[in-house]
Amino acid sequence: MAKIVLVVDDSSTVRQQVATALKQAGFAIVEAADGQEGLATVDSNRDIAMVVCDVNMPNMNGLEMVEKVKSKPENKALPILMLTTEGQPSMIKRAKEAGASGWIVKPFDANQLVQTAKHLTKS
Amino acid sequence: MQLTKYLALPKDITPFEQRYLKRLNKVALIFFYLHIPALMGVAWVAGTGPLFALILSLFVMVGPTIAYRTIKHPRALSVVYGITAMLMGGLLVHFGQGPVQIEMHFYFFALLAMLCMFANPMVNIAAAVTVALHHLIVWLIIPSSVFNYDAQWWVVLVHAAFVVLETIAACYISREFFDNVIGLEKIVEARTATIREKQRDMRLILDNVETGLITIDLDGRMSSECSHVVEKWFGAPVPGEKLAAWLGERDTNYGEWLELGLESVKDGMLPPQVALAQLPKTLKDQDRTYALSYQLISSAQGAVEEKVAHDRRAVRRPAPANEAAAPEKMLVIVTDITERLRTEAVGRYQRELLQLFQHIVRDKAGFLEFLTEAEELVHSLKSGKYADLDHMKRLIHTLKGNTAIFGMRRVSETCHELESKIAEEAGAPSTAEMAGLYQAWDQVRSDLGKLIGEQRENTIEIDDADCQAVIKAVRDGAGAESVVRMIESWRLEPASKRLARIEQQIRGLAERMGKSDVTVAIEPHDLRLSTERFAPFWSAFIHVLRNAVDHGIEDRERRRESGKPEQSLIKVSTKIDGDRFVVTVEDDGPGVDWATLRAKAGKLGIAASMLEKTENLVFIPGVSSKASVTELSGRGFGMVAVRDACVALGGSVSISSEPGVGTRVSFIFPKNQAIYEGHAAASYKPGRKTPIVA
Repeated sequence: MAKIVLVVDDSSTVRQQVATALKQAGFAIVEAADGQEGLATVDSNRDIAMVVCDVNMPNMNGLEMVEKVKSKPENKALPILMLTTEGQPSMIKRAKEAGASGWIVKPFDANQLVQTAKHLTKS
Repeated sequence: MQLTKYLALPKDITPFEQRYLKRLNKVALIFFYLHIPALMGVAWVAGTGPLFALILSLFVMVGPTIAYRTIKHPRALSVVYGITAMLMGGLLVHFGQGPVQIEMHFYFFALLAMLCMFANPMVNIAAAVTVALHHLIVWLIIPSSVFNYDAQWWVVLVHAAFVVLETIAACYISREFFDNVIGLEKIVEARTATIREKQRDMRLILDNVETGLITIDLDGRMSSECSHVVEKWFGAPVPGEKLAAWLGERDTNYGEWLELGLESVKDGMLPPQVALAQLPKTLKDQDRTYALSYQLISSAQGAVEEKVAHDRRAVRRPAPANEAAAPEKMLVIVTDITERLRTEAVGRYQRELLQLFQHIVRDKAGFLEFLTEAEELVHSLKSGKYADLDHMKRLIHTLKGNTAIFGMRRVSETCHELESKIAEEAGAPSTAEMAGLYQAWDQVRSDLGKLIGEQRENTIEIDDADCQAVIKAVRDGAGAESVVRMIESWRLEPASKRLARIEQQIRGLAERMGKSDVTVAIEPHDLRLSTERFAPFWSAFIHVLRNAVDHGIEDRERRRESGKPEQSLIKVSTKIDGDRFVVTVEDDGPGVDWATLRAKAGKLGIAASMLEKTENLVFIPGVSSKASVTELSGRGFGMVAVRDACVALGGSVSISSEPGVGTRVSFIFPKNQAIYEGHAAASYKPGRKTPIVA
C-alpha cells in the first residue's frame, strides 16, 4: 500500500508541485491549505506516514502546527519536513526543536524531495 | 652490474654520514695504535721479539697515519682502515706463534665483522682481499707465520671459505646498515623534501587561487589552512573558531542558516546530500556577494602515496575498495560573484532599456503618457499623497501593472516585492524598502530622458493623412472655423492609436502570462479623445485588460469542450452611443466566478447589503477570484482603481457576465468637449459637420 504524505501549504501551486513529485515516486497524497486544516488531518488520518509543511500560512503557521502535532505522544515518530524560504532561520530552528525532521529550501528540487521522503518514511 | 651498484655506495654523502665516519675513523686510528703495545706483549709472551713487534707494527701504522692526514674522503679512509685491520691481524698471528697461534686467527673473523660499523661493503671487500693476499703470500714464503702446523692446501681452502662467507654476510650487513641507519637522514630528508614540495605546491595554489577554500570539521570549526583570498575578503580566520560565527558577523542570516544546516548534516535525519544542499549558498557582506558551496571530504580521498627514490618501497595507504569512508571534514568553496551579478544586472537593464526604446519608437505619444502617469504615481508615493495603506497598495499595484506592460522590469519587480511585503507583514514597507523603488525609477527615468530628448512637451505628431485632409479641406473651400477645428483636433489623440496601444498591451500581457491563443479585435469607431482628460482613466484601464487576459482566456481543450473556437477573443471598442461615450472590453471566456468572489467577500466580512448587487463584488478591495497572486494580476485591487478613475470623469461602470459565454465591462462617460466624433481631419468630407460636440 502506498505511504500517505500530507502536504500542508496555502499555495495550491506548491501543493501541486509537491504532490506531483511524490505521486510519481509512489506516494499517496492528502492536502491541507493551512496549519489548522493540517492539524485536523493529522488527527483524523492515522495512516499518514509523513508531513510536508510550509512555514508561512494563514490561520495557523507551520511552526505552530509542528508544535501542536508533536505535543501529542502518538505523533512523536511522525516525520515532518518543513518547506521554507531563505528568510526564516529562527522559525526553522524552533520547528527543529519542536521535533521537525528537517527542511528543504524553496524552490525545491523534486529529486531531493523524493529522496528525503523515502529516507524519512524508510521506503 | 647490479652487484657493483650494491657494493659501491651512492656517491652523495650526507652531513650525518660525514660526521659519523669522521668520528669512527679517528677511533679506528687510536684503536690500531693501541695494537702496538698489545702486539709487543703478545711477542714478549710468545718469545717472538717485542722490539721487532714494535718496529713492524709502527711500520704498518705509517700508511693509516699518512692516510688520516691526507685522505679527505671519510669513506676512502675507512677502506684504508679495513686493510690496516687485516695487516694488524697478520702481525698478531705472526707474533703469536706457538700453541695459540691458530686462535690468533679469531682476530681476522672478529675484525671482519666489526668493520661493518663503517657501513660500507667496500671496507669489507678491501679487508677480505688483504687477508687473502696475506695468507697466500705468507703461507708460501714463511708458512710458520700463518699456521702452527703443516697445513695442507685444502685446510687453507676451508680457512678461506670462512672468510669468503663471512665477507658476503658482512657486505650485506654493511649495506643494510647504510640504507637503514646511516642513510636514514637521507631517507627522512627525501621524504621531508617531498612533503615540503607538496606543501609548497599546495600553499602556492592556496595563495594564488581566486577561490576561497576553507576546511571545517563537522562541528563547523575552521582549520588553520585556507586560501589567501579568504584572508583578503574576511581577514585571517582563527583556527578552531566556528565558521558560522565568523562569517555570521558579516551576514547574520547566513550565520544562522549555516549553524542550523551543519547541525542537520550532522544529525543525519535527512539524506546527507539533501542536508548538504540546504546549506546557505549566498553570503552578503556590505556591497559584495559571495556564492558558497560545500563538499564533504574524508581522509581516504587524500590517500597518500609516497615514493622515495632512495627507498625502493612505496608507502601506500589506499582507500578500502568497497567501503565509502565516513566524512571527517567539509570543504567550503567561496566565490566572489559581485562582479558577475553586477554584469548580469547591467545586461538585463540594457535589454530593458532597449525594449523601452522600441516602445518609444513604436508609439512615442503613448510611451510619454505612460511615463507621465508612472511619474505621478511615484511622486504620490514619494510625497506620501495617499489616504491609507489600501490607497498606497493601489498606487504600487498600478505602477507595477503599467511598468510591467512596458517591460520596465526592474521597477515592476520591485513593486511586486513591495506588494508581497505589504501582504505578508500587513503594514507599510520601510523607508529603505521604498527607497529601492525610487532608486530603480529614478535611474530608468533619467536614462529614458536621454533617449527621449527634452522637447517632448510641445510637439504634436501628425499623420500624413491628417495633413492631406486639411489641405483638401482648404482646397475644397471649407470654412476657416471648420479648418481650425480640424487642426485643433490634432491635439487630441485618435482613438485608433489608443486602441492600437491597448491591443499591444493585451498581447504583451498574454505573452507574459503564457496565453498565446488569443485574437485581439479593436473598434475605435473614428473618434479622437482628449489625452489629458482621459490619462488617469487609461492608466487604470490596464487592470481591466489584465483581468480580461487572466480570466477571459481559456485553454484550447476547455474551449473545444465548450464548443467555442480554439482562439479566445478579446474585443476593445470606443464608440458614441447617443449622448454617451462608451469604452467596452469584452471576452468570450468562462464568465465571472461570482460564487468565489462572494465567498471571498464574505470571508473579508463585507456587509451583506454590499453583496446584494452582484457587480459590487468586483469592486471590493482585496477580493479576487484568483487563488494565487502573480506579478501581473490577482490581488483584487485593480478593478477598484479603474472604477475610481471612471467615476472621477463623471462616468459609470457596467459589468455583464454570463457563465460559459463571456464577460463585458463597459465604461460609460458623458459625451463632451473632450471627445471628437469622426476622425476629424482624415475623414473630412465637405458638408459634414465635424467635429460633433456634445
